[in-house]
Amino acid sequence: MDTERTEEEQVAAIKDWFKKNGSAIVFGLALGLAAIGGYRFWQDYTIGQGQKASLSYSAFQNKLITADSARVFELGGQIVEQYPGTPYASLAALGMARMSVESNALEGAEIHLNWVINNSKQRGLVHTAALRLARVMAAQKKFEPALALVDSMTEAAYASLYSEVKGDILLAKGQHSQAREAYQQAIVTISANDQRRMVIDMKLNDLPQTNMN
Amino acid sequence: MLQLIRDRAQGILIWTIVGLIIVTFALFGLSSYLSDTTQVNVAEVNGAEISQNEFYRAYQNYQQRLQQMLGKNYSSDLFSEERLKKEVVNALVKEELLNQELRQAGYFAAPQQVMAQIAAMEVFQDADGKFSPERYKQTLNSQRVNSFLFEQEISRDVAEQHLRAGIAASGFVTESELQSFAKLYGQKRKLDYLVVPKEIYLSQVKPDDSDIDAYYESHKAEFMTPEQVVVEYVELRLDQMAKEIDVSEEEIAQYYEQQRANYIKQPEQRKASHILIKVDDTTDEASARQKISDIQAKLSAGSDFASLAKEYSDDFVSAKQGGDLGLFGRGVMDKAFEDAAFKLEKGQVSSPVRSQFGYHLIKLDDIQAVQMAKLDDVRDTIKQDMQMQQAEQDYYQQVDKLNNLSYEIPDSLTPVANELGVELKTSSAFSRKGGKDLFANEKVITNAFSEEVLAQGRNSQLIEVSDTHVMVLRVAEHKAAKQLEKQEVLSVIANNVKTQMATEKQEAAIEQALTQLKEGATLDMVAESFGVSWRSAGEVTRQVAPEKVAEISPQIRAEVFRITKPSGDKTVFAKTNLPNGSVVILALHKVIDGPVFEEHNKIQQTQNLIKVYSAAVQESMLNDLREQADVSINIDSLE
Repeated sequence: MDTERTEEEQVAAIKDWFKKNGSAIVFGLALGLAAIGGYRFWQDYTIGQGQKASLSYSAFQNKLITADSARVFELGGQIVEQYPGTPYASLAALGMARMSVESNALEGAEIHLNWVINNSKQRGLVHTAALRLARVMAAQKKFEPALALVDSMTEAAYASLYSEVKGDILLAKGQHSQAREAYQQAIVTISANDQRRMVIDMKLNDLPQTNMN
Repeated sequence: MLQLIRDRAQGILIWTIVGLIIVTFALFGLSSYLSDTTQVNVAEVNGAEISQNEFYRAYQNYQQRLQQMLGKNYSSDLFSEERLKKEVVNALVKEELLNQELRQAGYFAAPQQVMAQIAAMEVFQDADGKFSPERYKQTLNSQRVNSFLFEQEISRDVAEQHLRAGIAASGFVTESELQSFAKLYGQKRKLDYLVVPKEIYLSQVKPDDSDIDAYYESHKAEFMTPEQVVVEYVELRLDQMAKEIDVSEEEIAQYYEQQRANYIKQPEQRKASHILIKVDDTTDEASARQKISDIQAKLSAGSDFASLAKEYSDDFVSAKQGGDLGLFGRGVMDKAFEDAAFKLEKGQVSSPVRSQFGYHLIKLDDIQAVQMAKLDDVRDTIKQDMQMQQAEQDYYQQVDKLNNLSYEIPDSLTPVANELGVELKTSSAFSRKGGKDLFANEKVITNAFSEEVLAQGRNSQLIEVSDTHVMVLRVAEHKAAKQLEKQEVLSVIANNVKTQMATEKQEAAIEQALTQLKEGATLDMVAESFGVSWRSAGEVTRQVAPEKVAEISPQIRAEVFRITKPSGDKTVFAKTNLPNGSVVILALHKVIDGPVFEEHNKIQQTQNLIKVYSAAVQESMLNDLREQADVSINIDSLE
């Protein structure tokens, strides 16, 4: 029993214990320190990449605002290539899609939007891209894939936006009563003084009367 | 063998534990071990806590902003506390969700971007609009804001801007979308309309007694006098208590003497001359000291101060006047110079004084003593100040007594009025909508009609009308809502019945007309049946030039665009009720698409649409985060 040991015996026991376990403790310490070092390095690296991407994106956005098409595609391409894991790659792809639409290269816009849908880790940007992709497809009269895309999205928070796009596609197809239904779904959750509500109301009130008698 | 396994196992266990402890320290830092774990949280968002402290800070901020916005109209009773708190908690949750999203998705602000953002803030700029690091430090210090935390906050804002601007700047409107929108936006609708006034029917109806009886019986609840109360109350007002305090002439004089510093019209000023031997880059300390000692020696030997100043002083401007600096008070001159000058007696010359400029000999020429405000001029102010000061203590004691006694003896105010020696006053009757003066105060009304006071007949709590005005009230008389007799409201009833009957007739006639129109009746036939004629609104637009606004009522203009579009050339009909009782029949003949936008308008319309839709996407994004998140709100933790 411990209580019966003399002091010397106790010291010897501690020494003995340390002999047995000393190397394990040192090893444990080293492992812990290595883990910290690795984590810190990884963290610094992520922050560094993020900051670089963020600076590149700022430069890109300036060109986007002035609609400097050549530079937009040059800088945007670099961001997507160098920092694909950052949200800035997705923002750059969205920006290039806009530039494509403005230069009437709708198929090009589709490529950029699809890149966001397939690569972005951020739900918000995926939905932003999907909503825009459906519109770009509709502008090319690719109604069926546009409708299929819109119908595949079921997140409640985006339902109103998708319903409106759906209404626009159905209207373009000439399916007035289905378009009305879609628009009516779109306004369920919007307040009356929302500007988007006014736009949808305009669309609704422009649908011709369906034959009731 | 067994022993070996045990040893090994122990070894592995130990180093794993050591390793883990170090890693956890590295990840979470010491702070999470030191923070107070007993604290109650207001909400938890995906495991991140929003503390009560954070909440109260935000809540205070919010209240202050409400106060600023509403100014005088603000009263803390104005909003349901419950709702305000919920709103603040929700805002905090939203902010936390967005912060988590920004971190997780990997938005970063580079130091340059943070700096640029700060430099662009006007508060930190100097007169030339340039960023000033001193101002930055000063402003943060004066607001007691830690610069590290401030920069973190800005860094967060910058990251948020990346996301928001990223969505907005990449928005677009396709050519076909813009064309469709232009058609809708500039749409015109060709309209004729017929106004059928209620007056036509009012003259046709004559209600009889049974109509009136029936109306009275079915609308009895509307014919009630409001519930009213008469209250007894005790009030304390600091200003009135102050007026009653006597202050003697001697006390005023004494106060004036004691508080002299507050009644100085012009502080002491001194007139002095000096001789300066400057110390700067071209002259050294030792030779300057030698020089001034030499001059001091000449002065002791009987030379004139003024002529020595003219000859030797390095302050050329004053030297010409014999060193004269004129009158100055404290706080103007160099500190060492001032101290020396204010120690001298009239006519005396100082020993050498070292100021930031060099060595001075100072001669005190004159002392202009401090000038006090005349007692007569400040007597009234002093009296009021003294009265207020003396009353204040009394006032708070009285308030305390009022508070305690009215609570201890809850069924009467007479004892407390007697004890305080104040009048027990009685109000005139007022309803929940309030009465005059004091009884228009929201707090007073709420208290008078509270469950405790009205139903249980107790004294109210202490009501703080203002910082210096309190009251306690109790209901002396409760006048319940009373049914009004039919005779008392006969004229009102007769009028209402008449309107009601006329409206029924009018609606029936309108419905009939609409049916006839649908079945092919001509516009003229319908107009004739009403005895009024159609008016042409021409081609109505959604947007209207200001000078044309008056042409048709805004309600008709809005209504015509709500009518479902006719198919082909068929006219469609609808009706709308105007606030003045008239009913309008609308005949929509034709819908004309708007023209394509002109170039300058095109850009503006496009930008506007992008703005509306990117705002909508961002809102959806926040809603989605909320739906996906694990949020628990503990609103009950807030008292």
